Amino acid sequence: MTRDRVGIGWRPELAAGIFDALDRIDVLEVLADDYLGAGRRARRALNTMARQVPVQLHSIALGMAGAEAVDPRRLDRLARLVNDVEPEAWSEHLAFMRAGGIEIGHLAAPPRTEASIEGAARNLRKAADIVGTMPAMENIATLIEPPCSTLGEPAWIAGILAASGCGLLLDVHNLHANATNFGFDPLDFLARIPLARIDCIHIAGGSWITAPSGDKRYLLDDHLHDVEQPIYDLVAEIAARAAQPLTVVLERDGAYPPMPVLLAQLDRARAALAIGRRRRPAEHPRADADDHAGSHAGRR
Amino acid sequence: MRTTTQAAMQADVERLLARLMTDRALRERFVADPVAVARDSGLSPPESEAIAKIPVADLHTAARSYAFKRDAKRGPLHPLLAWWRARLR
Repeated sequence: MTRDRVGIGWRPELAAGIFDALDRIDVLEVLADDYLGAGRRARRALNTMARQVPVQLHSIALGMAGAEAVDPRRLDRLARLVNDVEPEAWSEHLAFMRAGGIEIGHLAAPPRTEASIEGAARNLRKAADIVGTMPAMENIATLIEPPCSTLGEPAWIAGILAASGCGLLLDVHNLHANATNFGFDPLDFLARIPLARIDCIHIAGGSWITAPSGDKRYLLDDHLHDVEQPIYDLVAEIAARAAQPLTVVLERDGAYPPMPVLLAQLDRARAALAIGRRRRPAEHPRADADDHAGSHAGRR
Repeated sequence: MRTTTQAAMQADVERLLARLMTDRALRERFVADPVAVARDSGLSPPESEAIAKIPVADLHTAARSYAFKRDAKRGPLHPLLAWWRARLR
């Protein structure tokens, strides 16, 4: 049986520290968008790295859950990168990035409906055809509840997983931020999604911001701060409820602390996984183990 | 049939959200009269009523967050340009 793994997002600023600590890092996640225009030498370097430590590519800008069909030229560029780097997996987001010729600049939540489930599944099938493998799809943080939605986020995510056969990249900080900002229980959210379909977990830190009007505060998923205890608690909860091996990746996009601080956060993630696994036999029988095995069959 | 209607609605809503997140003047008109802006953008009456319920604080905070993301991708600005952008925001 494959064991649980803990890794970190590859950032050039952290390169030296990462290479010094490969005995404590099981997997690296590379931002695909940073390398779509990279030359042969940079791609070869990534491929070499991928032969030493498992690498996953994380794509941001495809807009897989938007109303507009995903651009095949973007998929072609990603397919070439995947072909050159040979990652063990790749992932994207349940979001739209552009509409009507306007680039929003980051991930935005579409209306959660049966139609957006079908649209996302169409985009995912096209992506799998062009890239060669199905991505895992990540839940996003949003500051706006998507209007005109007919489904809650858990049902919407479950619908896309069922319609496409893709795996789930569960970003626990996105879940925590949405739960905080919109006032729902993250444990209830976990109870409503197929945890057996989780391929990977993201952890990160965030910060409190105030609305320009000064009358409301929000937890922002900024990836610029250390991981807080509620995030580790959710990782432990998932490890207690899910049977399959889990990969946890720490995302940090700036305000980099010394490498030992980041490694300590990886250690805490590993400890959280172990805590959850110890709770599992007594509290959660293996009901979902078979479900997990079946869910990955024929994924493409 | 229902999903066809929903797909058209999704495209309309995403187009308006994209404009609201990137166009300050439109955002101000929306805050003043959200239903009128939504109707002018081609949304149906029920869709217009739904999008009009977005809390103003959420709208402004999200727009500011996206603007920071766009600026970060463009790299550091000249200090004068950064000051001017901050005033516009």
